[in-house]
Amino acid sequence: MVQLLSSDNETFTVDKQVAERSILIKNMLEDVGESDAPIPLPNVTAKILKKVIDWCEHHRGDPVSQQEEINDRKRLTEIDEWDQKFMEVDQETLFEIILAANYLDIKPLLDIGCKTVANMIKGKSPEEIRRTFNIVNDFTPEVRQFGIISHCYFLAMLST
Amino acid sequence: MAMSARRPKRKIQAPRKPPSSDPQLDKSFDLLAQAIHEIHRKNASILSFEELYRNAYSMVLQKRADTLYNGVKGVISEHLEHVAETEVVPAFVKTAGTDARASADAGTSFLMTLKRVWNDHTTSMLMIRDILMYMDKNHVKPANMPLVYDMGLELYRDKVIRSPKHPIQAQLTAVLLDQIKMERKGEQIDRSAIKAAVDMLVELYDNEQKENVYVVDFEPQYLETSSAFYLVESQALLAECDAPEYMRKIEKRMNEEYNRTRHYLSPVTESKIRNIVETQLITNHAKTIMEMENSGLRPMLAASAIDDLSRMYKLFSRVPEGLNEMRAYIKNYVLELGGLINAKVDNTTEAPKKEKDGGENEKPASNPSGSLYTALRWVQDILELQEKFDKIIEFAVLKDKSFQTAINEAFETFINENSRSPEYISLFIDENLKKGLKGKTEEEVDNILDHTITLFRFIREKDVFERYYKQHLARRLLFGRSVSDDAERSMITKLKVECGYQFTTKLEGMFNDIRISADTVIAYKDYLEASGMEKPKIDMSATILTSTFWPMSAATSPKWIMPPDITAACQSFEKFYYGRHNGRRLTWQPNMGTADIKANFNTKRHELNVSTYGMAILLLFNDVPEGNFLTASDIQSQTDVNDVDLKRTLQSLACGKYKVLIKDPKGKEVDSQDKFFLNVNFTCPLARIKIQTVATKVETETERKSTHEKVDKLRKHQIEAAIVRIMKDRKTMDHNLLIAEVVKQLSNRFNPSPQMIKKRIEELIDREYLERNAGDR
Amino acid sequence: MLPFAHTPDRNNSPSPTNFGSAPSSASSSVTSLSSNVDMDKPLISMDSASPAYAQSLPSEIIYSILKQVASMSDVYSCSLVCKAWCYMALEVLWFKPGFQSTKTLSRFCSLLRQDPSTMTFLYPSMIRRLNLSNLSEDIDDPVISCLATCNRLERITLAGCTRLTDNGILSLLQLSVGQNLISVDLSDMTNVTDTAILAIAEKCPKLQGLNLSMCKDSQERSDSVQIHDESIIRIAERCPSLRRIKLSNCVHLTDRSAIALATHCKVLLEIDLMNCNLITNAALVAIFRHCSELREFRINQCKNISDTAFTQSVLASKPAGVFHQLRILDLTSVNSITDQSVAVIVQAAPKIRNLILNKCDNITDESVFSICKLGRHLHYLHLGHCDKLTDRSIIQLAHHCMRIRYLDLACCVQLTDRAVMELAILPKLKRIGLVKCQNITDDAIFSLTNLSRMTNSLERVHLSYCVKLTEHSITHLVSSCQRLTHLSLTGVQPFLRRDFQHFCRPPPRDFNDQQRSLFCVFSGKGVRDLRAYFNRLRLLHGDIAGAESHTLQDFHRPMLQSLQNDTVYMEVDGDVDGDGDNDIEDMEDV
Repeated sequence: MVQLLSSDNETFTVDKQVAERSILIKNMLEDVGESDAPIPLPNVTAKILKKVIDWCEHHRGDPVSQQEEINDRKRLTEIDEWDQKFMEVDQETLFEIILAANYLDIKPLLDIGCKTVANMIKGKSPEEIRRTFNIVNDFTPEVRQFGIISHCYFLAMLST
Repeated sequence: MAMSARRPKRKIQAPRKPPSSDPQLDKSFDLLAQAIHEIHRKNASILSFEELYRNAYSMVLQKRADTLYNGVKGVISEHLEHVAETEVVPAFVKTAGTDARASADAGTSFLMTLKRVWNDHTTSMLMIRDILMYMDKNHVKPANMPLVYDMGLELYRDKVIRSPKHPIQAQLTAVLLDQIKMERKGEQIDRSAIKAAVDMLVELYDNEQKENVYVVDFEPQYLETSSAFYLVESQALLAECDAPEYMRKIEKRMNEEYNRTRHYLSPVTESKIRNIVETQLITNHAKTIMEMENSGLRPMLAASAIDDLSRMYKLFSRVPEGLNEMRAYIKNYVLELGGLINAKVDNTTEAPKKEKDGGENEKPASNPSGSLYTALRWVQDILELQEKFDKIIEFAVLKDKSFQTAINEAFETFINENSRSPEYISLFIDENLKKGLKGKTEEEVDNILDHTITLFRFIREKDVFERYYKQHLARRLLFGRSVSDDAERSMITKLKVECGYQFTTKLEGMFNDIRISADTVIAYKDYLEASGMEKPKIDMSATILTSTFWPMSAATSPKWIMPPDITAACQSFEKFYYGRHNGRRLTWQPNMGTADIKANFNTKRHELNVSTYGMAILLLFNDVPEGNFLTASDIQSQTDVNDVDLKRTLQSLACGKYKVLIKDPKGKEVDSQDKFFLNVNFTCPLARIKIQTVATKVETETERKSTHEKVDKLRKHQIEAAIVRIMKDRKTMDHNLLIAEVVKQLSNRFNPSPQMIKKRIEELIDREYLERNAGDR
Repeated sequence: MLPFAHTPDRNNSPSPTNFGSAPSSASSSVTSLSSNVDMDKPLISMDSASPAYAQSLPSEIIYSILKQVASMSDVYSCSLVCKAWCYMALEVLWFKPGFQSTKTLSRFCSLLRQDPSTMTFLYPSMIRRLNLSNLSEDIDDPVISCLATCNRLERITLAGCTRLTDNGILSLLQLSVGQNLISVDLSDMTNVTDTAILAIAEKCPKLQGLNLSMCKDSQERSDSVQIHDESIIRIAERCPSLRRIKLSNCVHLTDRSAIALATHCKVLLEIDLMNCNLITNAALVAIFRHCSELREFRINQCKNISDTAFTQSVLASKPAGVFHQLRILDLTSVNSITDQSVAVIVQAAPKIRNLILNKCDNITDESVFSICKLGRHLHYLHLGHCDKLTDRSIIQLAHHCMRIRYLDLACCVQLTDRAVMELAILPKLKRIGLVKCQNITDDAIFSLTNLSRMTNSLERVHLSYCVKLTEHSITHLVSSCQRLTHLSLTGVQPFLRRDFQHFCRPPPRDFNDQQRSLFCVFSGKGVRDLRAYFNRLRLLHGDIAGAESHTLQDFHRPMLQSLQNDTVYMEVDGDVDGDGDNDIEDMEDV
């Protein structure tokens, strides 16, 4: 059993096997050795940590794949039902989960998070995307008009 | 820029990340640098992994990954330089090789130091890598830079092993080579220390050479010193060892090197070092070893030293061309021995063993190679030689086909050098089938016959052999000398397998004749019974020989005067026979028959079995009053037997073991005026006496010449037949091709010379069977 | 260095990709951008009241998200959202650009030829994979040379670009393109010679895949292939990470190339030497000895290969399973091999999934008994033209190799219904080839359709020239096999009816009249329509044979007879029934 300490000082006790879905924690345990002291995770709040732990629990039996898919768009759209439900959270939580998964190095969870966001982007115009995610348009006008547009227009001529 | 006025639905939170500023970043890096120092000092336990990881993570997020990477690289670099100087260099071997043992120990201690330094380094790098894993994954890898761990290895390679400031590489190589040298001399060394060093070198990689550092820096030197070492070693060993011992030493060294590589060097070296040892110890000295006096290949072969030969074979087979020399050597040796065997034949002055009732052999002085004993001895010698080398081939050279072939070639050469070989071999078979196989089991019989067949294979002039075999077989059959019918047939079968059925049809015909004759005789007897004719006084049984099968011919049957009683019997038989077989002609062969005569001597009555001529001669004495004699010329005029046979027969009757006739003057030689008396006082414990006349013997020179003439004549016909056959098939053919084809077709009987063939072609052209294409020569 | 600007020290000279720091030279207004935004800082919203998480994500996460966006137009939309997203979106967009027309290609080229300092973004460096084979006729040397700045290029496919010459390749590699190149496809590039390949060897040390397959249209085209041993040997020496190499129809290659590849490239997974008929047993012995990772091996038509390549290699001398990693082995037309080799192969490689022995006509039942030992590992088996095979061994096969998906028994003329009945138990059988198995009758087909497992899995059925078949069984087959997508019945008389022919595919153009009259292949929609038609007939007539059958049969019968007598069958490289499918040598990728 392993103890994880969130940024807001909440301790979670987890099975070692579950915790080790995070490569960071796995390495940590290997290098530092086991101790009773909880592992501090100042980057992650309790709320998010709980979600992450839930996900790891649910997926504890999944095979750990070694290969990185460099450009595998084909595997995009299918997220299984449970995961879908899991990701039905507000945007803040969604991105926090993504960041936590990134930090803790839990690739499958990161992928699912990214897929979820990708699905939110589907079919939207740039302005709609900005609105969805509250992103500021920080292009200079000239760039907006000429630089990117011209090149991207060119890109639009390309299809995959 | 107008901001989107829409407010998000979420709770407002302050941004989590602190605003980026250099001092903050520097602080992050300092923390990490400090941590690395602690790791190097083996103080990692005081560190918080998570904090370090997080710091690195932040740096990457803030796009300071390059700083981090380069900074870490710098820290490690410095550390390694420091380590090289303060830990590795002091451990250099200082004793200038004064005491071998001390020097070895110092060397080991240096290696252990290096091992420790290496282990420390790799352990540290693992930890550092884990802390920096986020950077590795998200920055280093996409940019195709060496990962943190690999970077650590490269630094180690460049700052420690290949340090530009200190000769660590040189020292390391020197120590390793020194240790190995010592072990080769027989000293004990610490293998694990070397293995650790080798493993380290293997793990370091040289990007330019695309090989690991072991292969680039160490191996070439190792191979060079090894080569030099074995060069010297080979000289030393040659000086003090004889051939078998030298080879044992080679084996030992090879095993040693194999073990060395396996235990503490890298497997890639295995084949290279093996190559060196083989070259230095074997290839360069193969000839010397073989030619060593008193212990080289020749004595080994002479003594059939299977172990040594086998070792030599195994060792030589490792090097290219190694076996070629050995094989050639052995072949020459066989040729030599064969030559000796042949020479014995030429030089023999041994008195030939006489046959039981011999006297048929001519004087040895005038016929030195005519001794039966010589012939048999020759064959026996060769068989023994063959057996010796069969053993060598089977056990020493593991049935290597090329060796077998070489030895066979040698055998073939010297066997055919002896022009009498076909005759000798036939005699050997003859001897065995008459007496030699008596009492042997079927297996042994088969064995001996098989061996003879192997000799037969070597003969080039197989038709000559055929001729002799026929002659000998004829005598065996007619005189009932065959010890076993099965053995005879077995021999024929083996010959058939070797040469095809054409070779043996006539021989089988001979067997047939004997069989049929037995039936014929029975039929004759029945016929006599049935016809109620007066039986002739003589109880006669005839063996009828089909002239084409047997080596005699009707035309050359010697003439003689038949005693009257015999004549009647013969005529009676002839009548019977002609009645059965129309169109055949019988010619009596007096030189091939035997007769049983009842002779009344003073003491006892004996039954004598003599040749037909002998019978004729003895019958004459029936009409000679007691005490009277006949001269040789008398006998001759009365029997009309030719000189040679007459003399022989008289010798057999008068000069042999059983002197039925008394000769005056005594002595072997028979002159025409010698007197012959019937030996009325003849005694002998046996009731039935066999007086051999025609003994198997080796041909005289003249006889041999005549045989060969006959053979030649036959060959001419065969060549012509072959030419005609080929030309019928091809219609036109180029001259050289024709000759080649003829040779090919006749090769299993004899080797015709191109001149002979050419002559035959000319003959055929003259006789208008062939014609030259107009315009060709 | 990543193409977008983030320099660790401001003291560094600005890279040309620094947004807005380009010198003002060109007329494009792009260059006059001022560096309003400091790209060194992570982006945060000006208004702290509404934090935009999406905007402040680390770039690697933005990249991960955008990578998952399916449609390019969506990614393009993302590129217009904000700067951080723009960079990453461009990385994604330019990862593997595709071109549908010559026009876009030429625009692309002119873009690439631009002075890098004038580019808003360093597009060339973003390109990682490139497949130009769909515009193969338009690709020429100048086009390729402008790719020389794509220094992060990892994979390039130039299949069929016949206008390219060595010069094009050389100019492509002249800068640093080769550094990251791991996969190069030059198949069917007829003007490529050893020069280009030598250059690839020198410049692409990380090469993992090389495709030099050449098409064999004709003998003279094969002979004109200009690839020889020297270049392949150099590839082997310089590219030790090579994993896949395809050299089919490079007819001048000899054992030297194969042996060099075997000894230098220890991680080879796939070797294709189809039609390299100078290859002899020595090459195979070396490959078996060294290539312990080899998974796919094709030596079709290498007729100099004989049994000793297998029986005197490590496959026979080492313990069983020494080559256990092998999955695909293609020995089509290597017709001197016998049962012995098959036994050795099965023993050494017990996990073969795809085994092709088409036209290895010395194979007898014994080989199939050996093959049975592959058990459930075997999925694809091709035994076309192995006419010594009898029912005996096929029955065993059905009992032992229960996972067979594709089975080709074309021209195994001794087979009877019995074999097919046993094969009906295979639960995963998707494709079965029985072309010219003339003993097959309706009973066999009915046996296939009796089991629902079979009717649910069968997808492709080849029954051309199974002359005893009638419409009874076939219609049942079509109706019950809902997944059926391909059915070939060329030369099967009852099907040469006009009403059926209506649903047929058109015969290949180079078929003569006779062949056309016999051609009968249904695929895809044709099958579905045929099925519907059968159903209608049944409803209307109660059976199918009745309607409209007689005239066409009468017409075709005499012609069919005479053809059978003359045995004039066209075989286009194994495409027996002319359906475009290579019936005999149908290679499915695993």
